[in-house]
Amino acid sequence: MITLHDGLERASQFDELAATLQLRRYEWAFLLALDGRTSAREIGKSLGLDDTTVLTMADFFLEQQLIVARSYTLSEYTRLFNVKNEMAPASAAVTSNGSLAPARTGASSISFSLKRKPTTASTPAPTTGPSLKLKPIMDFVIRHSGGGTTGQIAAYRVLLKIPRPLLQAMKIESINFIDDNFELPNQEAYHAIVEGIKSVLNVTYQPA
Amino acid sequence: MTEKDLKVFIDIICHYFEKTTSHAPELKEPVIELNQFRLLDYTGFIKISGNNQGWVYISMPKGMLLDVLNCMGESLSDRSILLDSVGEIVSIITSNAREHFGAQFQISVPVTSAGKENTPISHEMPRFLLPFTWREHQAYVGIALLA
Repeated sequence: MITLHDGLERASQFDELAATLQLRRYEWAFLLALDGRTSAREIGKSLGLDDTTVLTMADFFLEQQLIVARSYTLSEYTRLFNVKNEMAPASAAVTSNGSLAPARTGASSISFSLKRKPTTASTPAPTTGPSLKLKPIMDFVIRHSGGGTTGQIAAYRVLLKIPRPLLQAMKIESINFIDDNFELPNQEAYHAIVEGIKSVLNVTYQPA
Repeated sequence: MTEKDLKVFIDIICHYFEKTTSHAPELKEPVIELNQFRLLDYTGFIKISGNNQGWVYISMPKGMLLDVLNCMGESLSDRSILLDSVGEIVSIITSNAREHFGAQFQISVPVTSAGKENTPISHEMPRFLLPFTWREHQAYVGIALLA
């Protein structure tokens, strides 16, 4: 399991797997910003993503073996994060050549991080779940609220039910009601809209 | 306000133009605006409260405002007069809305702005933006509600 405080880095097979991937813009931005040191939360914040989105996305990438949570030796940790280890002998915090050892290849094999059982899939599996296309959902809302401008305002009120950080993370300027291709960024946004439909229109969304 | 009430607001705005200028506006496909505001030269904002809190606004280019004033027999084009004029337009729309909705809906005194940056609405509030054409001009009716 990944936490928001983990330093993440791309896995050794990342380039190979990435060649077959289609991801959203903010997902690529997140992956390419990983440096093994900056926490997932900090990177997410720099991209305008909320914690839930970051965690969901990072967990998915971990499952797909695209990323790993970085472990550090004590000397790496104290050097990288400028932390003093006052209990240890002075020499313990410094490597022999004064440089940082690469991830997971330090002198000690002991790690306190939890390791995930590797999944058997060698390439990312497609995500399952309902379609994230917005238009059929909006058509449903407009249909169930009288159509025309009244229906479109109802659709707007449903969209307001998506948590603000999630809307902002979509990094888009506007949503057109007639755009066939627009997709919601993730299942969380989808479920927020479905809940919104229930609360605004008092009906349960049924995908066509 | 329900979506039906908001639709009435839009109808009042359209009716205003039709009655005052004898030219009916033509409504276009709406969009939900999430980040940057799409404001034109002159904008009048009306704050609404009650069941839903937020703003209704109308934004138009200078040329349109001049043409509207021309239809009303005015030919002044001074910036402050144009600002007053857009304020007067939204005031009339507001009082028509008050007449329709009665006392249960609270509608504030209008706020006006010139320029594309000045807005009393937080950029974080998603807006329902309804473009319309009036004669050859394109303008917007906007609705911004708190969730």
